[in-house]
Amino acid sequence: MEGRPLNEQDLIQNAKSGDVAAFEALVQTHRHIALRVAILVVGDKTEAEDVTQEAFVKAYHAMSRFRGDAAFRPWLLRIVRNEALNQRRRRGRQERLSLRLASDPVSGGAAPSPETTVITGVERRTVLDAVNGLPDRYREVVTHRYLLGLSEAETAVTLRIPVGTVKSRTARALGRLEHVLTGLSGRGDDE
Amino acid sequence: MSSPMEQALVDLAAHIDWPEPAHDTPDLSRRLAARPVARRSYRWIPVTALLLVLVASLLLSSPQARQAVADLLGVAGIEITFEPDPPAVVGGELDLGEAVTLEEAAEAVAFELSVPGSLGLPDGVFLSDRPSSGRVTMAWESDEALPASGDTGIGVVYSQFALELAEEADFVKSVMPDTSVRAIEVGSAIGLWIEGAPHLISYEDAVGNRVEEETRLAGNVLMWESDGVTHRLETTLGLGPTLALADSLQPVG
Repeated sequence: MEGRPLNEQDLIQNAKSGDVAAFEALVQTHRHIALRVAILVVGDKTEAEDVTQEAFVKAYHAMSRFRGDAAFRPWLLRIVRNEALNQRRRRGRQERLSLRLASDPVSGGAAPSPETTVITGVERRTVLDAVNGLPDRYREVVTHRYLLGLSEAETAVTLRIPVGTVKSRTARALGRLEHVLTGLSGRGDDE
Repeated sequence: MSSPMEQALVDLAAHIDWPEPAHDTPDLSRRLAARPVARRSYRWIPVTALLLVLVASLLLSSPQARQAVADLLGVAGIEITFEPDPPAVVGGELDLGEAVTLEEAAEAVAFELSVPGSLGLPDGVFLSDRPSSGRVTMAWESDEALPASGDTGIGVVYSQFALELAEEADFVKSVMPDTSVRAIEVGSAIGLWIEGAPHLISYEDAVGNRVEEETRLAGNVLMWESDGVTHRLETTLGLGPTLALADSLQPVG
């Protein structure tokens, strides 16, 4: 299709009146992050795919209730997360976060800064393990804020907690991580 | 400026190998076509919905009758599904919410909390955001008078919440074929006594979140609504002793 694409507001309006194509276009740009939100909850990629697709269907049916003045992305992600939590509950067991680290540096992005080039894969694994070891309520805010890159406001909507709680939990989580990691490097001598 | 810890997390984020979505585009058309359910807009009050479930349960003598009832109520906006096996959650870890003190729980919700006076103060208090207006769940450890279910060590689970359904809520009740549901007077309210196999009720709350009411103890459940608050008392006891617990409710504090 040529021409200026419809902006998100146009797509929302059309989707609210039942236009499936508009809704698909609306969620198209969010499908990567939606999958990641689901993976953070259910762990498994295939399961997360199902959850995401099911959540999109639910979101489509719920579009009439979407308030036009609210941000669409966190509203959608909240439905995805909700569906993922339901799926995990149905399944009846909890997965630990099991993310893989890319073995090679990410290419195509900005050139790595001197600080980041000294961070080795081993250290990243340590940081990831420390994130994994956080209590749920702290891990949630850290993964959504930093690993998914959501804003505080988006994290609040997605996790259904007040923004103030996002701030306070983030601060506590960072403190805990620092404590755990400096505790490790305290006896560490790996240069 | 971000702290070194934040920088380390941002760096970590850049090196996570996230899976790619399997579909280039959201695969919605097919799914939507497979389920072209244009739900009619109904605003169900809980008791109405529960009573419809009750009507359904009275007619469950044969699979054909069940299907007919399910179809009928499906048209009216309620889906009833019959599950061959209990949901996997039953007997699993009790997922009741965040552990809080009774005082914290009382502050967190807009309604007045009650406790069954005959049980005394609960051994555990949990706060959850399902539904979004808050749910307080209290648990009592088992003893001779309150047999535990399985190896949970819990004798009674009692939840209180103000049920606000979504404007176009679909209310799904899943019962096993051998679950029995009876209408029961609880004080001046009409309630439900759900006995036998595990069951699952799910609905969307006022902000569109799906809330699932599932059996925690694989026990019996007494549910009723009073002054806008839904009470759900789950025990391994029979109807008489459970009603006695409900009768002994008194405000906290």
